[in-house]
Amino acid sequence: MKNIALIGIGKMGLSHFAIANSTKGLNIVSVCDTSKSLLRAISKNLGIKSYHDYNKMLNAENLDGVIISVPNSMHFNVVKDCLAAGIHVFIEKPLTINYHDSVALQTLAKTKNCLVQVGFVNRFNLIFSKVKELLESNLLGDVQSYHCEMRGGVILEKNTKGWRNSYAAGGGCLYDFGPHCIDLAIFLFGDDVELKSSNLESVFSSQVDDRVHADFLHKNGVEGIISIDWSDPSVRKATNLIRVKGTFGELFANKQEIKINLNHASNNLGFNVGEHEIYVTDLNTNVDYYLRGEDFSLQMQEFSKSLNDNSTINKSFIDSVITTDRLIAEILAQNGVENG
Amino acid sequence: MDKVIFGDNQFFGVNHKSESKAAAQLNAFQSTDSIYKSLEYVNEIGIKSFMFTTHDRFDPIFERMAKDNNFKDFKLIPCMPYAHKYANAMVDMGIFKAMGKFIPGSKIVAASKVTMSAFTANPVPLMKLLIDSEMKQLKNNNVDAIFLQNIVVDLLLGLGGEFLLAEFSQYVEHKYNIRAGFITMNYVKLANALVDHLGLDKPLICSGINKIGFRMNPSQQAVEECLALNKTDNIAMSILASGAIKPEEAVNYIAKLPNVKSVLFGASSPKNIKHTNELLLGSL
Repeated sequence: MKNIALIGIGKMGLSHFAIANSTKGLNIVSVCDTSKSLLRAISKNLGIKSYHDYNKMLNAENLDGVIISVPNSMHFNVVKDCLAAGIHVFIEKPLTINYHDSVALQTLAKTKNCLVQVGFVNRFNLIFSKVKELLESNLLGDVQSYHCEMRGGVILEKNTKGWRNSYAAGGGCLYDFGPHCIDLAIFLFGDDVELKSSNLESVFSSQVDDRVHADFLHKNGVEGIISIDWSDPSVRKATNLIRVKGTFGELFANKQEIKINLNHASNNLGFNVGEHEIYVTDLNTNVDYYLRGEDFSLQMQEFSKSLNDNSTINKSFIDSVITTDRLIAEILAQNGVENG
Repeated sequence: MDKVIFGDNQFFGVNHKSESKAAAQLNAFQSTDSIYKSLEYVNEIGIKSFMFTTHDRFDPIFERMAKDNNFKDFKLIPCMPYAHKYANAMVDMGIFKAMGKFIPGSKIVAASKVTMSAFTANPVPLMKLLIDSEMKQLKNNNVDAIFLQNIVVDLLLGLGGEFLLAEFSQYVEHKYNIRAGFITMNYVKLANALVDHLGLDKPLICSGINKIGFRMNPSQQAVEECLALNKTDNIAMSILASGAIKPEEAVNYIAKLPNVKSVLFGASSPKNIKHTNELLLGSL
């Protein structure tokens, strides 16, 4: 059993709180937030210790791990302080909003032998995990290209204020949706990737991008197109889509379903030539506790597993996610945006 | 509770199996008129209960329904709160200001209750105000039960704040003399919490129950075993697993389970509504 604290109790923090509190191997001992009335409500009603200053909490409590859901611009300092104290970290994406800061955290995590898991929840989505499994089993033959897309309706009218309209605060579609979409591409197609070209477009926001387009080239020759749009009014909630073309056929997937069209049968996987569909209802959806999707529960189970099984800590999650921060920095640089 | 309860997912483009099907459904129910027509059909074929999320979109529909004689024996089962309404306001304004926004009646009385609630860190008065706010919209309709949404039930269950579920139940049953219910994605955990820890007598729980075990947490077997203990009154939802199970098979599975007396289902096409309703009436 590992002692865990939460830093930041907003919408995401509250849901991580409930999920972590219901995850085997994690014991929530304290929370920290800037809202005193919220802290009072938590202490009084849930009987959990609360702190207004996270550094005080890190000193006072005997913690194994922290779950951090603070504003993007604070990520670097909070993660740095936790790692310096030798505490394992789960942090909502993005890791930081500056690639150099992310690299510094990577180095610190290795020095301290600490885990840093970023909230890339798509990695735990049942359908995207299935897509990865199918691609690794060579269902599509040699993958040639993909189109990875994320759409949502976050900014739907002229916006001139707030953190979402400030790069320095971690706003903009690239910082907000970008990490999920780019990480999904890296999860499925590997992190040996270079940025070929990119474009940032503002639709409603005065200071930041609302649409992102980027072309990737992976070392194995796979070409990827990234399209991200947080100003799409037709989407009920944020959605990720992926289309993959390979020598044996093509595949389309969103968070709930996979459609496959094969020109070459895969006997060992049991797929004939032609069309196939796989739905989330075909997969094992059991979790010990469900709040907002199996993916969020599985993500926290993974954090617990890493903390409770020391052998996995050295294979720090941070190595596989830091490429996302590099690509975001390159896209910004390519489009003349200076940040940090 | 009626054996068959009509649900509202199709009106909001919620389909747990397919995003494209969800989008098509959302498109079909763009207008309040199309939703009203669908409910008229449901009422006509004898389904007399409608369970819905307390979304603003329903306000004009229920107003019209209250004046429509054809609906005089039709029962509404609100599920509150419509989480996005509050979640969005919370993100924009902060928790306490957001709650102030939704409180009905005298702003001064409400504001002082909100302030006291914040000051004493007691969420119960706020919860009561929010229930009253939602119920105000339905004062001219027949309300058969009031459910708490799964996002709230499961959040409280996860946080260890289950005592609020008991407070909800007592308030609804005493003030409105209406049955309180809970929707959950964690049936076993909730049944244990409500009955074993909080001592509620046969609480009414609506949860996903289906032949393929889709989203039956922690597992289909655990849910079936807990149902057999007969400690809760149960409504099965997601019996078709968003279309993954054929209605005949879905209904056969439910009919064989112990202690499941009611089924909540939604569908868009009159043909599917009628067919599933007949199957359910024939088996439950």
